[in-house]
Amino acid sequence: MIPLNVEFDVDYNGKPIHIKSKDTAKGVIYVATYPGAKDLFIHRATNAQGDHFWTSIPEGRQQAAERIGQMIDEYFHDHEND
Amino acid sequence: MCYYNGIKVSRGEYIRLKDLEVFVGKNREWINCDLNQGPLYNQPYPIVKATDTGPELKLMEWGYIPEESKWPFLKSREELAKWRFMYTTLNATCEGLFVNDKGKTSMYAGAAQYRRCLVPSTGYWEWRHIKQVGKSGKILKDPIKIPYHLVVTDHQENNPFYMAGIWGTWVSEETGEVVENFTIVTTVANELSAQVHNAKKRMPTILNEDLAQEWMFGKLSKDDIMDIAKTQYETKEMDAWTVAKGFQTAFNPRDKFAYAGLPPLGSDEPFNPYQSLSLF
Repeated sequence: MIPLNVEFDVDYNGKPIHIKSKDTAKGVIYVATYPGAKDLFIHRATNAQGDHFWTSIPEGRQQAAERIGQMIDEYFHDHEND
Repeated sequence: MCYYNGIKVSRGEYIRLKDLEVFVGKNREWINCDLNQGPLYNQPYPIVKATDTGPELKLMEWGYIPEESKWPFLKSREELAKWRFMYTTLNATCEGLFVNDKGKTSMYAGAAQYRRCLVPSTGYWEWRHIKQVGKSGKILKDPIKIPYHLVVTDHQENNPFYMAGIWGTWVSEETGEVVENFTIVTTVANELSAQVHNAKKRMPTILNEDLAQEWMFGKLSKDDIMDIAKTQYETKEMDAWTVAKGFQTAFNPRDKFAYAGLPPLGSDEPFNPYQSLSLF
C-alpha cells in the first residue's frame, strides 16, 4: 500500500548503480546508491524556459544528477512497453 | 530569476526545490525504503503520530509487538520472529481492540486508548478467491487468487488517504533496540471490498479528514473509539482493478492487468482462462 517504488540498476562506467524512486507528496524523488559515494537524491525540475532538467536535492551534485538522470530517462525509454 | 544548481529557474520553482530540500532532509530514510509488504516485517513505514506540537510523520515498523507487561513477553528479535511466525499483528480487528476473542483484555487495548495514529496510503492490495476451470473443463479443487489494487478515488498519487492505526514501543531486552511499531485497524468490508477480499470480507478502517482528526486528537471514550474504528468507507468513493500476479516486483505495482476469462466482481461464475483459447 501506498508510497510505491520503482527499482532498477543502471550501469555506470562498468559499475552498477541502484536506482529507487519514491512518489512523495512533494514530487517524485529518485535515490541513486553506488559504492564509494553518499546516496544521491535527484529530481526532475523545470528551468526558466519551461524545459525539464535533472538536479540534485540538495544542490551541489549537479553533474552526477545530470548523468544519472539521463540514464534513468534511457531506462524508462527502454522499458516503456514492459 | 533564481539559480538552482547553476541553472536558471523561476522564483516559484526555486521555492519549490528549496521546500523539497527540507522535505528530503527530514524524510531521507523513508524515501530510501522499499515498497512496503507487511509480511516481510522490519521495514520502516511513515506514520502520522500525535505529538504535543501537532501531527508528526514518524517511521515505524509494521506489525504490532505486545507491550512488556502483556503476554507474551518477547525478549529478543529472535523470539519476536518466532512469535510472528505463529501470530499476525499487521492488522487489528476493530471488534478486538479492547476485548479479544476469548473475552479477555486485548493486547491492543492500551494502544487503542492512548496511542492512536494514522497510516497514510495511496492504495492497497487484496486477493480475490475464485473457483477456476481447469484444462479439462472441470472446476479445480483449489480456488485461484487474483490480486486487486484498491484505491480511494479522490486520494491517489500524491494525495494519500488515512487508515486508522495504533502504535506501541518495544525494547529488545537483549540489545536495547527500541522499536516503534504499529498495526492497521480493520473493519467489516463494504460491498466493493467484500467482492475483492471475498475470503475474509474485511477492509482497513479508512477515515475521512474529520474522523482522522478525531481519531488522533479527540478525547474519546471506548465507545467513541469503537464507533470510529468500525467506520466503513463507502463503496462509491472507492475503485478496484486487477493487477498482475507478482505485482510486488513489477515496474509499477499499480498497473492494471486484464485476466482473460475472469468474471466481473460480484459474479459467481468461475474463472475460465481457457475460454478465450477456444477456436470454435
